[in-house]
Amino acid sequence: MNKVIEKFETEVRRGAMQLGIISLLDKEQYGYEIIKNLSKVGLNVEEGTLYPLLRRLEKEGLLSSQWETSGSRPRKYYKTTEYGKKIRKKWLNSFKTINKSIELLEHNMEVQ
Amino acid sequence: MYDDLIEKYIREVTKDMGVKQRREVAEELKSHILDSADELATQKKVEVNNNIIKEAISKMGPAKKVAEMYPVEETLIDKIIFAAKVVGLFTFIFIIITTTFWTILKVYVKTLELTASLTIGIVITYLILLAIYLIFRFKILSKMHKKLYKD
Repeated sequence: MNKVIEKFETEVRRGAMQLGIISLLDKEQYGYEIIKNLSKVGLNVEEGTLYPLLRRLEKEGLLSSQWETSGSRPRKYYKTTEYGKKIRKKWLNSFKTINKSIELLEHNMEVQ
Repeated sequence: MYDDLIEKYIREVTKDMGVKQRREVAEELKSHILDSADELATQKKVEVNNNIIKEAISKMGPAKKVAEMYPVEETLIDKIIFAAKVVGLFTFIFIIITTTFWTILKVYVKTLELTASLTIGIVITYLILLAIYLIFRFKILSKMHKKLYKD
């Protein structure tokens, strides 16, 4: 049963994480900060899995990035692009629509 | 040194990546693991050690899973290397088959000699077969590619 729950969570979470990331990055942040800030709003993630998502979003033009090498460690800072800001509005709406449907379904569900 | 632990994990994540992507991802993940280790060490009021690094790495999640989530990014160099491998393998097989054939033929036809026109003939055959092989090979590959990455 745990496996079933986990698989579903991974699928749902992925979309939520992407929306979370482009909503968070109005100001540029690096991976470690992003994980901390997402977890503050309840979006916990296996840390390593954030980076492929960032790379994907960047490739799709929703994020831009730049390396900062002057500090103690090289860090890659990410920021939501103008295009990303347009997309996130649409994503947010589709999430809300889905949410409403789920609530309706839950309401009609037999009480267990 | 705990650097080995980090390198091992990163190598596993980046092993199938192109040169440029591998370098960037390696750097980014390394910084992350070290940041995470620093924080864990501070919480436990100890210096960073092997166990702390192991804990930081375990928070990353399994290397295989992380690797699979990365988008496929092929660079020009990767493509050239791949093409060179394909052509190289074909050439190798062609040479083996022709020499074997030649050796056997030589046993039966004593007067056989490698003339200029025969050499040109072999080279032309090689080029034609190579072209046919490449067309088939890449047609199949691009179909597979579409199937795999259609979403």
